[in-house]
Amino acid sequence: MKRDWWKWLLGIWMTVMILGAFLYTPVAKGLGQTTRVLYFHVPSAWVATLSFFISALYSIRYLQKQNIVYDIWAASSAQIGFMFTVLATVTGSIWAKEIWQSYWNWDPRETSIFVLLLIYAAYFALRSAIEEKNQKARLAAVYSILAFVTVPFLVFVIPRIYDSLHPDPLINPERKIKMDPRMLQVFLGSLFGFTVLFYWILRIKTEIEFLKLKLSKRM
Amino acid sequence: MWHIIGMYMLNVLGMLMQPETKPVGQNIYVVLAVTLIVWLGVFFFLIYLDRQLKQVKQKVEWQEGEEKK
Amino acid sequence: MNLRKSALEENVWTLLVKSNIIFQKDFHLEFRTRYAINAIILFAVISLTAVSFSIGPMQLDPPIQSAMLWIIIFFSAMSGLAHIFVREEEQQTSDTLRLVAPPTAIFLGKWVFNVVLLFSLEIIVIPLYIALLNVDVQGMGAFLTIIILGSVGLASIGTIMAAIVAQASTRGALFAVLSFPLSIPVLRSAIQGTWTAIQGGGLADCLADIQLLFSFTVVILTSSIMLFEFIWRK
Repeated sequence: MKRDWWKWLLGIWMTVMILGAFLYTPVAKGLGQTTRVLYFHVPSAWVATLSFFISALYSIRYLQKQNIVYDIWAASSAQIGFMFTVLATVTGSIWAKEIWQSYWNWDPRETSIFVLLLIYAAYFALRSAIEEKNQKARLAAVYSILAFVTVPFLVFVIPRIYDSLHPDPLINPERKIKMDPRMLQVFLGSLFGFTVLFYWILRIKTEIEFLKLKLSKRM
Repeated sequence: MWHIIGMYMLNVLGMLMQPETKPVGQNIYVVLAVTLIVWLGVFFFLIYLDRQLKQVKQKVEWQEGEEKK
Repeated sequence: MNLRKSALEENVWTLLVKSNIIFQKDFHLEFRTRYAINAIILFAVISLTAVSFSIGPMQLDPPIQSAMLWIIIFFSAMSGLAHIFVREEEQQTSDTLRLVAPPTAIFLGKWVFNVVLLFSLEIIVIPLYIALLNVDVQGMGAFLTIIILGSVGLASIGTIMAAIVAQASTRGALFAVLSFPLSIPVLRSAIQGTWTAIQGGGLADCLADIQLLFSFTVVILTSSIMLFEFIWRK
């Protein structure tokens, strides 16, 4: 119970962020009330990217050490990241319907998140196609690293297809933060909250997998 | 950390007190309510899962201890 | 120092010789059955004629023409490139192969084979494509450069994915599923470059695409060589 204080704090923190997102922040010019999706959509996309990197890092660790624990970390991170990728895609798509009048129009951001979904799908398809545990871990790790190596090229290639209409609150050519300070407070707070939430879910998931591993060894 | 949260709380209250700084339609409160319900649902589910997991873990460790005896 | 350098050279040399032996072996095996080459070329010709039939006398725009070409090449590659490793598993020759050659040599040999396979596909398909879809290629030099670099890129991804897929249970569908996300940079810049070349662009006009194709292929190849050992060893 004592060691769980941060979980309850996260509960309060995120509730405050939600209240802040709807009641405290002003709306951005031209986006109206849809601005408020920013505090949920962008953190989801951030966690999606973060989990992908974590998965690749643990894949490298796995190939170095050949310890199945690292594979559990990599696979769990990918699974939770996939959930957040879907969340980011759905929230973004609904927002796009409101602003661009269509759910999907292959904006570079949409294309890149679609590719991320494809990579995750391929990763899970590969994992489900191999029975033996160590072999599954080995091949999935190799695929994860190769996908990780491809991502920088995608970043270079995809924006050249079309110009993006996606609003850039943080990342723009001048590298300046053009957000209202109140928006920035809630945005960064939400980003932090989502990251901690991801860590918490990841811990639960990995603990379950460790238990499964332990029990299967005893059988 | 608590004083930041307190500050946010005060700001939220301040927003609610001043109707002229609140160009928000009624519907946004519905969205807020739905978001809050979804979040609290997810949160308490996670707390529940966390507890269950801890119990199962303790049980498994206890059984392992018994077997060693 | 001098001695170590020569030892290194010797190692590289034996590696290349061994890769060449692997390549020769696969080439002769393929020549006897012609399984992969038949599958891949027939697939390409059929899809090309299907496109040609369905558009009839219409003239396609250059962007669609270049996209068509790469869709046909990509799916033909997907139908044939996995064979190189799947055959080793199916005929249970992979264990012998593990004993006689180092992993890097095996990978390089198989990679060269897949590159040759895609080139021989293109020697047949490109003239047909130009004739059937009535493509007026104005920048031939750039066109061929893009085709060559693009196929080498596709063959590199295809070879390492084939090695992964050969160890899994569902091979056919999985191969395309795994290869597609990684091929997107190659496909994207190859389509872009082909489009520029058809419209009369020279090498300088599609320099960005050529650079990307080249650097991506080099990166994928080096990481494949580093990772292949983990796939290959049992």
